[in-house]
Amino acid sequence: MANTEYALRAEGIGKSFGRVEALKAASLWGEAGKVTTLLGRNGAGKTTLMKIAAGVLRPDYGVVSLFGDVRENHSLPRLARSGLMYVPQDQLVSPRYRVRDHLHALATTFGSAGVDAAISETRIEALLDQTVGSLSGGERMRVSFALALARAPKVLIVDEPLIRLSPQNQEALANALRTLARRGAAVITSGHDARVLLSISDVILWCVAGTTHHIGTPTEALAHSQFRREYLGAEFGPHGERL
Amino acid sequence: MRVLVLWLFLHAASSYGSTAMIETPFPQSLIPSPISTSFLIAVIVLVVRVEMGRRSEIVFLANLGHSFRRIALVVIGECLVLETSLRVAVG
Repeated sequence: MANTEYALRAEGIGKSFGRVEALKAASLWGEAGKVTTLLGRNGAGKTTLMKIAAGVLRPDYGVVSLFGDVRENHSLPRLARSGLMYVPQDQLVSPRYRVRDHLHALATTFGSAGVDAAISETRIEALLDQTVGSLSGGERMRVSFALALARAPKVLIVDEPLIRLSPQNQEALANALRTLARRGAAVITSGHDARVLLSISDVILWCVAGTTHHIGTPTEALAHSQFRREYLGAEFGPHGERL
Repeated sequence: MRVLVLWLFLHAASSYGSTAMIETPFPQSLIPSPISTSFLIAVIVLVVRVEMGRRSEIVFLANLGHSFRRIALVVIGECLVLETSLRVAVG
């Protein structure tokens, strides 16, 4: 497959922290209109790989390309100017500023066309004048998604968005990811909430001990006996049913 | 605002140190040497970097396309304006 068919591609990525080899020849990609999900145990290298793909970390080796252009010395600000948005695991928004301030900064830079719709879709009208520091984890993630919807990125990388969220918030945010993909964005996400993530994903990548395996569609992932045995666990049947 | 507060605090501290240790008279003690000025600006840039990282501001601004290099240049610019103003005021 030619490079240009991928919105974002991080290929053959290696990264070490001191003597610890976090990634070795790992790959990650996103395609327009699809949700790609990176699954794997804690410490497998998912966050490091996503940070490298987003330009937050530099790889020791490997190539990152955006819309087919190989990015030498890529960084998040440069990729962001080309349409990428990165939502980190800890949080995107700053606790000292109001929700409205974040949206205003985004609108000033990229235009205000999608802001009102994003506020309405994520139901954050009542939060606009609150500082982010006063919000709950679920509300903060809703604000991050409002920013993502308002930004309408071509590529969205969002690291473990469903962590510590209630089932209702998980479902709402999963729907927001699907909405972005339906609008043409390449969405790349990760997490451990396999049931929710499998239900919204088009492509599953399995991150194991610093490298990645392309498992295929969610249906193929559920039929993958090794993936089911070693990652999903005994509760998943071959059709996603709880055993 | 953050740069102004840091700049005032560091200049007050260095002025106090100069007056006490090498008996530089006030207000001349407010004006550090070029090396000290460079050091104070570097400290201000570092503190701003750490503070912005702690408050998730770096990633948010990076998502808007702003690199920290650009932010650091703005901080240095603010410091230079404050330094110039101080030197003019003290004479």
